[in-house]
Amino acid sequence: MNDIMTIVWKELKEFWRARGSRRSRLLSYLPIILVFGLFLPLQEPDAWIEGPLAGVFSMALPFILAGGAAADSFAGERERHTLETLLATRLSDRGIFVGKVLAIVIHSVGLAWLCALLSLITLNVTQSLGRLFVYGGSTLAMIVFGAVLLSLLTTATGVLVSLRAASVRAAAQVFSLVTLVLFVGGPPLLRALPDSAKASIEQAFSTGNAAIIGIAAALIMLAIDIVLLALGIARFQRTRLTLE
Amino acid sequence: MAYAVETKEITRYFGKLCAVHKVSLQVPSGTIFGFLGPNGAGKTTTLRLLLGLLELNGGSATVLGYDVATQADAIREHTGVLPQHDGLYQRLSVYDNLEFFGRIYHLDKAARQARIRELLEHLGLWERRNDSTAELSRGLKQKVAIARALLHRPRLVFLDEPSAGLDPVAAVALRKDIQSLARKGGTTVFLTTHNLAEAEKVCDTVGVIRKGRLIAVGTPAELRARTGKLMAEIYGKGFSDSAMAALRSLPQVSSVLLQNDHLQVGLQPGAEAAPLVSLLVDAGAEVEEVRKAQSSLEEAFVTLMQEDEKES
Repeated sequence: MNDIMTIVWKELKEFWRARGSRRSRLLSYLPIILVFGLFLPLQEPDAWIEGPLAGVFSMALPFILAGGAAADSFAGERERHTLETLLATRLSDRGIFVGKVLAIVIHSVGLAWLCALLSLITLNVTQSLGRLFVYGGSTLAMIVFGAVLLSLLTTATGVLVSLRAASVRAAAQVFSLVTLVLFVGGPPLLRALPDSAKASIEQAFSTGNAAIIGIAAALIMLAIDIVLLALGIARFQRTRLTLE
Repeated sequence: MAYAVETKEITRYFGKLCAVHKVSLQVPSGTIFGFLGPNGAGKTTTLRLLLGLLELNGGSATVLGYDVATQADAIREHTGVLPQHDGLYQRLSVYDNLEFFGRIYHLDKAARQARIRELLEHLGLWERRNDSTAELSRGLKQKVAIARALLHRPRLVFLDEPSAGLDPVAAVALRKDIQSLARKGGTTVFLTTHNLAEAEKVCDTVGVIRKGRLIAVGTPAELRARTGKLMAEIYGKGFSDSAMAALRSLPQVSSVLLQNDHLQVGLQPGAEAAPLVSLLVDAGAEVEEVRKAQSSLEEAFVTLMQEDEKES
């Protein structure tokens, strides 16, 4: 655990300091916070709170932020000639890998949660008129669990690609391609499902049991996350990384 | 004798290329070992093998008593490394770079702070501890990287081209630090270098590697004696043609070269300079200074390379 937290400490410091001076660091986060924490909630306050908007944006934000960071995770270290130094330390393979994944998830989800909290404050301060704005159960689940699961999925995929990529650019290109294939390949995959499975899904949607659909989606995502992380840990081998 | 590094015919291939071929060497604890060789000779690959960063294709090796094939984690726990590139995180400050490595090696907060301060003050970098590493010159970055390698007081440090990019003053200071590490701290230093003058001044023993094969091991003096030529350098006036001819006729003389008032006489092994001086004085020369010298490690290194080239 100590090793993991040491890597997390370093990664978060690097995220923060990558943006130059303290002022430019704050300015780089400001647009995200203003858009997701102020502008969007104020457009449709009721839809933001009662509909899935807040949840969807809270999941989209980690997806956007984690992709770039994950592609940089190992390819960046290799490109900046810091990977060999890191591998020559006493840190365990698992500590390095999990630490990097965790840092990206904390960074991306942390920002999403901050925006979700800020939007709640914004609405309560500007729109309340005696009414208390709070997220509904499904929206809250999307913000809390959905953001983490999607961030994990994005990060694990990006880190897996980054492990073998020669440069950050190459990692980013492959990652974009993988994402594109998943998006484009999703609908045909659904069509290829057995009729019984398709019928169950259709029934779940038609009966409108959002909770069951949400839980099923979360469990599927969790399973994929676990598989990808296990694959990443298995592929993390010092002796191979040193060669590449 | 306890050896910090002991290898037995270690071998490593990259595809069909044999980067390290049956290298056997022993580095006693608390000494400074210099690993010399031209670019691509296999120095860095050997170092990576010793750290368990690459797998052996043949042979065996121990570092600090730990097997490189099965106990690489323990090796990395007790060694410090300065790779070819400084390996510093440019986005982090000087202090944070060291803080990170202090945390890696489980130094508690107080010990970490004290050690970082001690090293940075020693290297003259304490005032710049909050600067971004990217802002430092190549030489200063190298100093920070050396501090990082020594932070956890390792029993063995691997330094890959430590003086590369350092100015002469910094290089001299580094040399003193390396010597003091071994002499006072008992740390074993395994360094690879192109700088033969540096190796000659710092190293207790050196190994010469070429095309993956270890072609010579010994103290700098032993290598000079083994491959170098004995010379007599004579300064004076009145070195006549007849005196030169008489010198050349002596059995212990292998060559004679006169440049202005400086006479360079190549000697056979074990030859004395005194008879040469008597001969010159008898021939009417005025001898002001006589110096017997052996060729430098650099010359010995070049000779070794040439000999190996001929053999292969």
